[in-house]
Amino acid sequence: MMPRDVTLTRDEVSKWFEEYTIEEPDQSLRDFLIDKINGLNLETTIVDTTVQEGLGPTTELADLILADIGSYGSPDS
Amino acid sequence: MAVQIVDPPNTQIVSQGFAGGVNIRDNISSLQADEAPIMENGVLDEKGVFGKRRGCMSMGTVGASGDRIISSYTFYRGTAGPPQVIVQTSAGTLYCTNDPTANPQVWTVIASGLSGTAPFSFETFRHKCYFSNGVDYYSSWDGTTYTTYPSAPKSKFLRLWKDTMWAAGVTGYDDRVYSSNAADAETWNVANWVDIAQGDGDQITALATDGNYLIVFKRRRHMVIFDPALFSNRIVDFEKGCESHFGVGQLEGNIYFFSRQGICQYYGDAPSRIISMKLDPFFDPRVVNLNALASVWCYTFGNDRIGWSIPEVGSSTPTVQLEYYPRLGALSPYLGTRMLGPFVFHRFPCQCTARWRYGTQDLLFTATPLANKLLQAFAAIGTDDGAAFTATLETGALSFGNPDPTKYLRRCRVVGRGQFQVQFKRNFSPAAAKTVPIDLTSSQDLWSIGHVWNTGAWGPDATLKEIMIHPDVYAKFFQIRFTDSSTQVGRKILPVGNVRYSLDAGEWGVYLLVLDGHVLGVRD
Repeated sequence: MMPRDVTLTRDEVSKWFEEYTIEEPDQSLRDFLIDKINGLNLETTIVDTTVQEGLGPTTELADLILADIGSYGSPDS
Repeated sequence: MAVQIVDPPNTQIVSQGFAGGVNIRDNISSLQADEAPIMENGVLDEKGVFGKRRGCMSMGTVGASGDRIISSYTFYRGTAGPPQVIVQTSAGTLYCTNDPTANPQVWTVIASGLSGTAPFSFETFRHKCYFSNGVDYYSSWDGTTYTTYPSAPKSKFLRLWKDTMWAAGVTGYDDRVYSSNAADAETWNVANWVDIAQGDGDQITALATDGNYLIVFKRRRHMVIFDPALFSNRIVDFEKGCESHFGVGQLEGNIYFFSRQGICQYYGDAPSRIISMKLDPFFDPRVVNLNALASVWCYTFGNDRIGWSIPEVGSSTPTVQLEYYPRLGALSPYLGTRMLGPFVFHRFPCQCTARWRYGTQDLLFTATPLANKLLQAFAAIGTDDGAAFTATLETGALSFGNPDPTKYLRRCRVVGRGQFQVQFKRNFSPAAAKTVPIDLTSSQDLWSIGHVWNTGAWGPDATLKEIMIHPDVYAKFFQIRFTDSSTQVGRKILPVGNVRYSLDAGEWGVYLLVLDGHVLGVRD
């Protein structure tokens, strides 16, 4: 799907992050996101990122979120 | 043997107006006839005339005495109410007023506890004003209610384009542009972002739009996003960037921006064009504070002026303004396009501005970095918040077309209005050889019923007058300097058919200068 077709909002993901308590994000964060995304029952979780210079032609939605994770900040920031 | 006595040849210089603007790049003895090396605090709103600008009027204070306004915006609300002027202060408080023309202005607190150093970027969309500064939460104000959106990107810059809010300048993501959902500036989906020229070592400094494209400025280049759905983008100019999100402005369908190389005009289908070549020496690190160029603020006034408030070296806030008059550019006879217009300098207190149009008024407000005030700029007043200011026009070096011989300057005729001084400078000396005060404000002795027959003249008194002065100065090169120390305002006449509007204007203006002299011999 194209980026605009992703209906998952930053608001929802921010709430997920409130549940995630590990200080240093690692593989477990990716697994955590994939679990959450799977719970949404999306038709696909592969996003077309052809236009993104730093990513391949397609990217897993969880990886797309991880690539922008610094913009979410901590819940109380 | 009889001696034939011959008068030295008489020669004359007639000014060709000052519509060429200021030129500090070229040798002062080879400027164009309508250019000048010094033009400060004067406007060119009558082509060929240099007139002192109007002043900045205090409208009361905002916040505590030590507070300073660091960003400002006009929130137009359609028929829901008068436009509100919103200001952010260094105390971290956001205020609004429904009537910036009231004296004193009455300010209402929108929010407090915000950043006092990171200026907000504002946009209006679907009857709300949205703002963000990279530090505080992205927020909205609908005229009565303040709302924050903690999960939205904390971006320094906002721009509305294609029914969508776009954001950039999130800490740690120098190249990233975020997009809200279409028609919804409050919902931001996780995949709506794109990196522009990723990892080029540069950073996004501004977002702008011409309506068709979203222009993404970095410091050394700029690109456009041309597809809001796919985020497809392309390079526009790989050499010129923009220093400040607030340094981008639009006038007459053109986009202008402040670049390290000078003032640029955006074209989109070709690299942007530098339009301030005559001011190239100004864009020097010894003159402007390169480290504070993010504070450059663009303003427009009237239908013919666009200006930039710029910090000079040693100051972290803007200290000088560069004002451009695109309509005064000559029309190209081949293409019908307009060529470059003139610039002038100003020095008025201006950290940031807000243009406000409501009812019968169209005003520019300027936040002074010297006090907790939002002033009315170009108001009918002769001071800047009570402080006198001087306007100066100094011509290039005039040599009557013959630089070698010494000349005698015999007569000088000035057509103008108001009260000012004319100074005559010789041979590039900074000192004036002669200073002559001029007063063209005094009324003629006009007829009244108390007068005896045959004294005085029929009125009304002319606004424009001429005066002849006798400089009695010798030199190879002359420079004529017009300046003042006045705190008054003047008037100028605008004929609309047979109706003559008397408009407030700066104290004085110079319309014509005629110099009569004699070319003498070559002397040491």
